[in-house]
Amino acid sequence: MTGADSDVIVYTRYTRLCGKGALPLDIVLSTAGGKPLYAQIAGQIEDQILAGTLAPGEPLPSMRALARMLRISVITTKRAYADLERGGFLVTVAGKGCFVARKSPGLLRGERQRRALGALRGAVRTAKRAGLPLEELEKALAEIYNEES
Amino acid sequence: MKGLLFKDFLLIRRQGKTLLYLLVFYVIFFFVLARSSDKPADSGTVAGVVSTIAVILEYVLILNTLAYDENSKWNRYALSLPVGRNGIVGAKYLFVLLFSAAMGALSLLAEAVLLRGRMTGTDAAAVLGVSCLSPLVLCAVLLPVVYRFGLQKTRFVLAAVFLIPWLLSSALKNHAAAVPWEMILRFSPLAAALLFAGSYFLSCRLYAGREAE
Amino acid sequence: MENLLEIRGLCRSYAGFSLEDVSFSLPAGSIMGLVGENGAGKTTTIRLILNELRREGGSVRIFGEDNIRGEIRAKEQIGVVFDECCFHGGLRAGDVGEILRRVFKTWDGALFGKYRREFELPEKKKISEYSRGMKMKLSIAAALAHRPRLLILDEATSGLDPVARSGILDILLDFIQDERRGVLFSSHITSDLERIADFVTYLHAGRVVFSRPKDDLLDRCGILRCGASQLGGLDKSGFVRFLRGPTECAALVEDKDAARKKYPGLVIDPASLDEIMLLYAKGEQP
Repeated sequence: MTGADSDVIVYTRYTRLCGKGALPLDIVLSTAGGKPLYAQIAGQIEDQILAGTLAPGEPLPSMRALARMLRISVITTKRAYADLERGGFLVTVAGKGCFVARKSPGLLRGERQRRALGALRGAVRTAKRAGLPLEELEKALAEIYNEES
Repeated sequence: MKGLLFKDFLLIRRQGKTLLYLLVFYVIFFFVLARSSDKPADSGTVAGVVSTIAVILEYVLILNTLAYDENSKWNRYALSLPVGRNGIVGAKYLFVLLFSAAMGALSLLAEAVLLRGRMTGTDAAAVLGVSCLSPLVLCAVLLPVVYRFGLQKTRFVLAAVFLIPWLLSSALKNHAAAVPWEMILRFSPLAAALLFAGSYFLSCRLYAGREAE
Repeated sequence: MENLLEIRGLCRSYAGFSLEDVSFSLPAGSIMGLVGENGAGKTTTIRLILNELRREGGSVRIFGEDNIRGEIRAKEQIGVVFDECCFHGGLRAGDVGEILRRVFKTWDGALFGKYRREFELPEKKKISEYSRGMKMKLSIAAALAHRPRLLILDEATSGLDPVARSGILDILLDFIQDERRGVLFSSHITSDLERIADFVTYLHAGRVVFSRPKDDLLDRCGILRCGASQLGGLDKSGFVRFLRGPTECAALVEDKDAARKKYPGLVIDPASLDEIMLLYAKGEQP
């Protein structure tokens, strides 16, 4: 039986949407990480929305067109878009397509804070499993915070 | 059905050129032979020669279309087309019918050219009859066998179907006067047509029951 | 969304092989991969769908109608690509167009010409002189030019190099942009299907092992690996199948996240379609 490490061929796909009036949409997929494709797509689109690369009200490619561009199943893109819609990042207008949701800057900030806390929660869990005490964790947090500028 | 018919004629056209050269060669050969002999070209002999060549040509060409169908897996593909099994069989029978008529006309023309118009009515009828009706009769017997067993399995039947008329005619040669030629000529088109039509229905039945290769 | 193809309880047997109780559906707008080892029944299933073989039990509905009653109607809208090119070697590409123009009511000669140019199929060459890839492309052009709703491919990519196969996958993805169409793609080259299939139906020894969305299958299933000696001590109740090797054992689990929690020390990798099929074919049931 061959192990997974013999086929870590990082498969990446770079896609740009060049439609009429639409800004470039960058999505890079990897099949090596174990993260499901739909999660990667949703995550990357979310990042771009939060970063402002994708402006509110911007049109996104249809699920089918995105599946075509990425050369994957349409069910995958459907799920990614469904997640984005549930998270409030995307709205579907009947007959017109999918668009980046219009959000207030306050809501956006709240979104970002929520994600930061979520990541923090994950870090704390990992630290606890590794047996790291709170003081050491706080020290490490300060160090890392100052490192990242 | 039109498409399949067109396909068979297209295939004939593609291989017909080679065989047409053969035909021309034969005709020239016999023409030269006749010229070189002392006897004038007997109308009957010429009719016989033309008919023989016509029948050989027809037999070979029709068999080739069947062979092509089987070798190129066309038969399986045809079943995926909106034609239906009866349509597939019907197209083949229609092809044989139209092809026979065409060859009949061609043979008559060849005979007329060779005899420079000095053709008797009986000879003309005989040439037309043989070159038109032989394929019908041959295929009436052959096609149901092919549709039931496939071309590969019926090689010996092919030989028999060709040999039997030849043997029959050889045997009857010496008793030619005793054979009621007039009556045969008169009734053969009807008989051939009935046989052919009956064969079509039989083939449809047999093909419907046959699974794809 | 309607089902383009609905197969229920399909049965057919002949010498040494029997297809039993095969059921699956192909929804419009999707690509379904039909996978299985050679001899598993994929081609038999397709033959039964096309009524090349007569079924002994069950039902097949195409576009909502029985496949025998509505056979001619259905076939106007079905395009089929076989593993071999089915056109006579003496013909040329243009001849194929002329023949099929007289067969299909919806034949689009301009579209056929477009594919011919796109695939760079020469006009004057006889089909017998084509390469294998060219023959396949001609078959595909012939199958697409009458604008079918259902495309059936029976091992159509088996003899092609990866570049040619990739080209065909692109063609299928373009085909499916119209939501009313669907593709049934039978193949034993699982890598092609892992990429673009929406659904996967796995046939093994004449039976359907599963028929489910591909994402669901590949995201959830996992392969658990442990040493040969460890296998005895493990709780096998969560295993779908497992395989004992000389040094290593592998087990297929339905939910790899749950399995990671249940067996914290062990390696649990995402499962590929090949590995899933291998375990179903060779593995034991717990």
